[in-house]
Amino acid sequence: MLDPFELLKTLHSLSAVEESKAVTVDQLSKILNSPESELAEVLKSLSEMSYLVIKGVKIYLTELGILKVNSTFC
Amino acid sequence: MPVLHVTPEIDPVKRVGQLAHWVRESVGEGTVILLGHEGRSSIGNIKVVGAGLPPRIPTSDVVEKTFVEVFTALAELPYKLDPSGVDAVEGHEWQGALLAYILSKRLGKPFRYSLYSTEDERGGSGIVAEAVKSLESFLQREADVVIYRRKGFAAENPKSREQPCSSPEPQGLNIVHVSWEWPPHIIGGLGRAVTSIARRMARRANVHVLTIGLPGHIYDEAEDNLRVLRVDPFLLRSTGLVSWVYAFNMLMVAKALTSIPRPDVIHVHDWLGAPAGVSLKHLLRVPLIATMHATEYGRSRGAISSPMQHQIHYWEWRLTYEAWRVFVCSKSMRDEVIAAFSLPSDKVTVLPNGIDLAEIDARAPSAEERKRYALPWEKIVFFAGRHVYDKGVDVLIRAARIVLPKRSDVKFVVAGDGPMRTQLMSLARDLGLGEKILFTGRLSDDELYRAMKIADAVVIPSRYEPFGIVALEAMAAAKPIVASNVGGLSELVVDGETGVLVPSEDPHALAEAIERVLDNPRSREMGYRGRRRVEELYRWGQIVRHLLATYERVLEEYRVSGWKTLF
Repeated sequence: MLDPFELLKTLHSLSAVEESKAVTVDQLSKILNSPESELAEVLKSLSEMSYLVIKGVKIYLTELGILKVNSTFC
Repeated sequence: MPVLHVTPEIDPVKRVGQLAHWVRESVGEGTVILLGHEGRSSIGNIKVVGAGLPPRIPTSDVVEKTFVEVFTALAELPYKLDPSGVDAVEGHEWQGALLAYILSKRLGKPFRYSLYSTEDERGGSGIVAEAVKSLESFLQREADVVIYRRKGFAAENPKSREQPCSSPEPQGLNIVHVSWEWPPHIIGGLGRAVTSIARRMARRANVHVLTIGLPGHIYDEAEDNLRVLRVDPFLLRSTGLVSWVYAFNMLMVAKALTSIPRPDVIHVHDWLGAPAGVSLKHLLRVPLIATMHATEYGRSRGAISSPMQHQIHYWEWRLTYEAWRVFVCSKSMRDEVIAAFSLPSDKVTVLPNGIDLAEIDARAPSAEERKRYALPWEKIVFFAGRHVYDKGVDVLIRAARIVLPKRSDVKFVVAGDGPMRTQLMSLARDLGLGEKILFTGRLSDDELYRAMKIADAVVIPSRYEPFGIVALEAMAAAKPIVASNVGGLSELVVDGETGVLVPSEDPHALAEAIERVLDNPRSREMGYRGRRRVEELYRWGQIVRHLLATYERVLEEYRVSGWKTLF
């Protein structure tokens, strides 16, 4: 099972923090080496918690998602 | 020396691949700075200057490794190379170009980027390749001239080049604070402390804050003597959190060199600004001051193992080593940094965080607001903090498991967010406490202070706590505290007077103390005593006066130090 936090960190690394910098499910699937079906479930739950936005095939972190990843460091 | 070259390799001094040969052919003659190398040598008409050996710390990938080499060079080159007569700085491949980009900003000369092959042409894939592509693209955008060496042509970038800031220096001390947190990007105590300090300091000095910019933020804000300059760390893709911090720091250095008059003092808060602070110290020959808000050594209880931990620990050590003075927020932190970084004790000063009482006092929650958190007959036990291991939220949940079966008049409210949130919510659910523990998620300061005022007790079950700003906030809100007897909490909370201290990681002791405070009719007096303690000891005004006096002493020492560089 894909770790949701790993997914958030990957979006953070890819600078997917606004719509113009969004990545697609396909790109994420390749980078995380994880099937799209498995990704979809995790993405949905993270979106429900307001950590990311799913717009069609595009995905990007919200400010809350950025804060969540950055909170690793304090 | 019309063109100063920077390269990661050159034949035959350092040969990793074909690039070494190409660079030697391209340069022909002149001075070459060689990344990740020590010493000087000559190859025909080419003079090679080693940029300095990077520290022996493990890195995870070529991007992290290159950034460490670049930051090493920025701290060492001002003592190795006289840049007089340089007309342009040329970086070979993205590694050389990263250093050349910063040097060009420092020297106010054009930046040339020599490309031999791109990551796209090399066919790289994965997160490292994405980061390299992003760096190559950024450098091509920033370069005044891009030279496609193997294709044999150069392209001028039609843009005006930023010059080093030449605006007249304002009167009074010029201070630069380097902080990765600034409102609204506030994560923990660091951001609150830097914000309060910089705003108050600006009443008596000229203050610049170099900080993070996210989508929607204003990137250059000024109010009286305070100017906040943001850089966007997401301008570049990274390979992980550490290379993201490095890229952020590189952008802060560039911003400082082009947008801020030469400061008198650079004050860096934690390792997240250390590479920029150390680089700027040497590039501008300006004293560095550090505040350590926490350490990786402390967070990991001395077990530094992963490449990320090694790099954080290294930059924390480097920052405290390079700093003229090191501030910490508690006596326990003083002991920690002295032990972790072998610092002389007279270099370290304890200066606690303060609190703005007006911020707390301005919040007056309504009776209706209480209903959001608990039923009328329920007493509220409140936690606020990041959901990470150090904060001990799991210990609090286990204490709740002891308290709740015995009584129905208690509600636990857990505010905040963090990597462990899902795990902690599952733990509460698995223990059958779902109804009685409310996870609010992240609260704004306004929501946080209102919720705290509604609480009957504030619990801080930390395993590691350098200071404990939540304790200060709870005391300012006149609330009794139940806290672990660790770190700064042991100094902030007076056991039996302003709260109750318990051993960390002991849910039974925590549960017993929570019940004792809830059932004690005199607990409210504990809160009032806490409030008086805050009023006496933790005011920002006196803290900022102390900082400014320290800057003045450091500057006196600096003026007679004889410190010189070639830049």
